[in-house]
Amino acid sequence: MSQLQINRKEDLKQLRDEGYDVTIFDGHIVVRQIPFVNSNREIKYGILLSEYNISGEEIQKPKNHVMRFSGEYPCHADGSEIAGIKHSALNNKLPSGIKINFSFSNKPQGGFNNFYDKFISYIRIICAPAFSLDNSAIPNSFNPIEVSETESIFKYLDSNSSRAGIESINRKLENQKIAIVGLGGTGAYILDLISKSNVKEIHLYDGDVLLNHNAFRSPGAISLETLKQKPNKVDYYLELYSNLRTGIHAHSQFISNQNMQLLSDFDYVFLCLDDNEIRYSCAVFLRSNNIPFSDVGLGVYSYRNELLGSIRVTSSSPSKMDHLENHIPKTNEKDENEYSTNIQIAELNCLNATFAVLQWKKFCGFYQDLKRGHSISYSINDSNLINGDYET
Amino acid sequence: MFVLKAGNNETILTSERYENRSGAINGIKSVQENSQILSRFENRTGEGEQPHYFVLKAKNGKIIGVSENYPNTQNRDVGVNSVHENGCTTRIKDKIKGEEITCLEIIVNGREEEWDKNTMSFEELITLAFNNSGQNTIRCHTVTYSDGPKSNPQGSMVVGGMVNVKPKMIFNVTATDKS
Repeated sequence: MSQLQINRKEDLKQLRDEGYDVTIFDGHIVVRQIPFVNSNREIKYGILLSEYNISGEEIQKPKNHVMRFSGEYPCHADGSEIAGIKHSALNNKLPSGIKINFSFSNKPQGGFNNFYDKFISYIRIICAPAFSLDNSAIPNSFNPIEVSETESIFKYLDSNSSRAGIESINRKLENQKIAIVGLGGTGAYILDLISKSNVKEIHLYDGDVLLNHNAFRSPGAISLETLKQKPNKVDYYLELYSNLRTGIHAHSQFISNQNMQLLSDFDYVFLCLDDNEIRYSCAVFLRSNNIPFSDVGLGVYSYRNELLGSIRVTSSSPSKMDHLENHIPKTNEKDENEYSTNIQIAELNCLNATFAVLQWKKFCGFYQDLKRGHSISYSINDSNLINGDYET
Repeated sequence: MFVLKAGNNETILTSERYENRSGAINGIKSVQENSQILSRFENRTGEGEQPHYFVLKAKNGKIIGVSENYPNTQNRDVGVNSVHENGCTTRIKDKIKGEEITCLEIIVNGREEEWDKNTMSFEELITLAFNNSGQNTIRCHTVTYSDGPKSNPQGSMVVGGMVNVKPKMIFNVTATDKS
C-alpha cells in the first residue's frame, strides 16, 4: 500500500533508498529497526514514528518537530538517559498493535523542512551510542521491502530501479504482455532477464518436462529432487520465478500450426524453438499480424578440440520485416551429417538471450538505439559482433 | 622462385629457389602474412658501394625474401615500407604458365582454406565451409566475416551477397537454430 506513496515523495524515497525500513500506516510515517542503548547498556531495536498531514494525495511537510518512539527510553553508551530529546512518556496503542512509549522533542532552528531531515536528525542522536558499542548496530539495514500485490507485480520492492532513479524508463515496459515460446536454455535465460522487468504478464509455452541436461544450460541451480520429479518446464519456471513476481502464466503445450492463434494477443514474442518449421511458421504468423518479435538461435561445433560458432537474433517490427527469409531457418535438417550438432553451452544461451532482450528493450525505447538494426550476430572465434538490417 | 614488385614494376623482394611450384606458392603466402608485421623485417649491412639491404623473416626466423641493395639506410627504409605496403597483394603472375593467378589463405569456420579469387560470394562460401556437401546450401546460415579489406572490413552476408577478400580474412558460417 505505502511504497507507491513513498515513491512519490522525494524525502521518504531517499530514506528508503539509503536502506532505512520506511513504511506508512496508522497515520504515521514509520521507520523500523532503529538501534539504541537501554539503561542496562544493552542494544535494542525500536521504531520511530511521525504523524503527517495529507493534502489531496500529497504528503505535506512535517507539521511539527515531535517524534514518537516505540521501545525503551534511549540512553547514552554509559546507560544514562539521552536528556536532550525528552518530551513525554506515552502509552498509546496503534491499530496495527504498535505501542508508542515516548515522544521526543529536539527542534532545530527553523524546524524540519522534510521528513528525511527529521528522521535523520533523531536517528543520529538515538543510534550513535549503540553504534559506539557495536558497529554492526546500524539503522539503515537494507532489509527486504515487502510490497502488496495491488501495488506491484513484484513480491518486494524493485529497489534496484528505485535507487537508480530509472522508474520513468521502466514505465515504458509496464502493461506489456510477453510470450516466450520454448523454454530451452535460451528461453529460460530470457525469462530470467525479463522477470526482473516490470512487464505485466509473461506467458511461457513449452510442452517438455525438465530434464537433466536442461540443468546445465539454464539459469539458477536445479536440485536433484526437482529433476527426479520431472516437472513440466513451464511449471518449474513458474514456481521458481514466482519468488520474485506475479504475472507469470505457464502453458504446458507446444505451439503448432493448429494453435498459433494463441500468440495473436501479445505485445512482444520471443521465439526460442528448436523446430525450424514451427519457428518459421510462427515468424510468418507474427509478421502478418504485425506483432513484433525476436527469433533466437545458436550454432556451435568443434574443430581441433576447440569449440566455435555463432549466435543470432533476428527481430521483426512493423517498421522492418522484409529481412526474415534471409535469416530465420525454415527447414529441419533431416539427414544427420557431420556438421549438425546440438552443442549448447550456458554462457552462449545466456548471451543469445541477453541480445534478444536488448533488442526488445531497444524496440520499447528503454535503451537508446541509433541504428535500429533488426539482425544481431556474434561469432565466437573472432569476437565479431554485427548489427544489421536497419530500419529504413 | 618469386619476386615481389612495387607499383612501378621495380622488384623490391626476391625469394630463394624452391624445388617445386607449391613450395613457391607457400613462400608467397608467407610473404603476404609476414610483410604485414614490421618486426619480421631485419636490416643488414654488407660490403661494396651499395652495402645496405634487408631480409623478411617468417615467425620461425627462416628468411623468405631478400631485398635489393641500397646505397644508404634512407633508401633501404623506403624499400622496407614498400614491401610492407605491397606484400599483401593477391595478384600473382605465373611466368611459367603465362597466366595471372590469385593465391591467398583465408580462415573459414576456424580452418585455414586456400582461395584463388579476390571475391567471395555467399554461395561459394557455403560450399567451401561444408566441403561441397551441397546438402547445406538450402539452409539459412548466419554468415559473418572480419579482418576483411578496407572495402568491407567486417560484416555479415546473406544469400546473393559478395565481398572482397584479403589474406587471413576470417569467415564464420553457422546454422544458428539451437536454443
